[in-house]
Amino acid sequence: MTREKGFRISKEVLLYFFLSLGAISVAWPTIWMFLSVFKTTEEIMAVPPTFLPQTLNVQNFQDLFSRCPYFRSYLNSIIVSVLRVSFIVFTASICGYIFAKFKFPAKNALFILTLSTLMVPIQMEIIPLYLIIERLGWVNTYQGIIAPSVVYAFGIFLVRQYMQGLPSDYIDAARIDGLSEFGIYLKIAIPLMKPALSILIIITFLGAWGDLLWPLIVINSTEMRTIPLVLSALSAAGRTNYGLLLSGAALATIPTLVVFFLFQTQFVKTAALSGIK
Amino acid sequence: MSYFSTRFSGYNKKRLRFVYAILLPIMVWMFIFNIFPILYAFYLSLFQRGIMGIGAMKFVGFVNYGKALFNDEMFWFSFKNTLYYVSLICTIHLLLAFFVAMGLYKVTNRYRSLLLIFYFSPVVIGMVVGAVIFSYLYDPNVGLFNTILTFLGLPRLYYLTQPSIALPSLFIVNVWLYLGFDAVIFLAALQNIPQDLYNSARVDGANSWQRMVYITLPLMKPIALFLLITTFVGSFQIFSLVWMLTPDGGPLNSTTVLMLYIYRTAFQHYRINYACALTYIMFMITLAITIVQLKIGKSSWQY
Repeated sequence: MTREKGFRISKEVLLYFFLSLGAISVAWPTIWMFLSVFKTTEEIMAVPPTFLPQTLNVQNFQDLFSRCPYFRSYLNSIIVSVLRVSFIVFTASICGYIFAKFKFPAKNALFILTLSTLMVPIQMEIIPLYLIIERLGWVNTYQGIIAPSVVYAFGIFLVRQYMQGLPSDYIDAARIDGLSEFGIYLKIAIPLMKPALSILIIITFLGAWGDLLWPLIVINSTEMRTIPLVLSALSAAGRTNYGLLLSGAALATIPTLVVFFLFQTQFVKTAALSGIK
Repeated sequence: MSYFSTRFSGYNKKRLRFVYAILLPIMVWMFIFNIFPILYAFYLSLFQRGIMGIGAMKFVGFVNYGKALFNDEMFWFSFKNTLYYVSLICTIHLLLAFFVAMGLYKVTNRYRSLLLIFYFSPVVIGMVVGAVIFSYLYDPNVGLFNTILTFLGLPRLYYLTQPSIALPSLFIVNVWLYLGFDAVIFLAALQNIPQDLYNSARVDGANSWQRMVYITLPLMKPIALFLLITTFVGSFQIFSLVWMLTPDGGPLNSTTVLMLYIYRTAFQHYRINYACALTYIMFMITLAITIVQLKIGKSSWQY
């Protein structure tokens, strides 16, 4: 009896040990980055490496802002990400609401057409998309980056599913009170679908902020670069100045960390609900 | 009575006007930027142009497809690399995620939510920043991994410049990035299994191994299949990671994956039409394997 209990406890200890070890290994690279950005070049190159930075050195950040238009790229990334998220939230919320709560001809056909875009990943479309954007004269512009991701079929699907589960009583009541259809959408539907929208905001913001492939194709001037393009250019330029590279990467995590802490509880649920990376 | 009025009877006119005023422009936009490109890519793939994309387009039918399938070693090489990468992800990565989920399932709620923050953090950090961090960790001289190896008395590894381990090194970054994410999806499915099933099995004298094999695994099949397909499709299109860590395609092209090859063909060699054909072949492969996985999944559900 005692023997079995001893066996159980050690099994449990092992479980906690390996899970914690895994958790630390996964979190470690990020922590290592934040520790390294304050190290001097000599300290980064030192073997064996130091754990904590010896001095609180900010030279890396100064270099970052003086050597490349990092600030401008940061601004570009924020503008593009905020616009992309806003457009997607608008189109997804209003289309999802319409598909869930309205009756109109060709409704099913339009919905299926919308969903069909989900089957084809954007990677498959980049070449013809580039030709279209070039024809429109949108190369090297914000609208060039944003145009393909104004309508996000998964968002429409998400909002529609969510709205279908809600009763229409509020909407009918508002109609009797004489509110316009757009007013109903704005004042009744939007507040009702807030949980679905916060999920959508998280997914699309992370996606937009880290997007590399499409901006790589549609942007070729230095001042229009977004942050992922700057990081890829910095790392391609040479793996010698890690201080510069890591400080650029560390600053790039701030907006996503802010979103993470704002929606922390919603976050894990998002993963389970959507399964979208 | 006109066709129009009978067709539209039963619909509220005011609401219809609202629906179409909103939906039409959005659908037109979606058509131009999300649907038309797919058709346009197919159209382009049937033509040919002079070297460097100069000269008039000439209709050649399926010549580009034939060239890719029968006369392009680099296509098959990058296809092989992609398959290798995908198979690592779909086996080792998903199994690891499942084990982590099983572990997380067993610990107390408070500890689980603490661990989840750790496991989930790379998703917030993102692939591009993650790649930057790993380029530092992988550095042969000052990187942490080689420091540890040297400390243990083992020889150094050249993670990104040694052909045999370059692609597995990229795979490790992917594991780091999505382990927590995939584990959370498995975990949600585990938590959805009703406790009654385990309890009655326990009454019937099933040990923990039998409970695992006869209850947990069969009930996890749908979510496992879902993850297998999304992971397959997602990792088949791997580009950012390769571009960040080995933009030149790795030593001896060992990390040249399909998407990188297509990117080069289209935007560095300007063979737009040929690249469109490659894209379509890639799309067809993805679609075919997805359908096969679905079929296998369905047939093995019937027990």
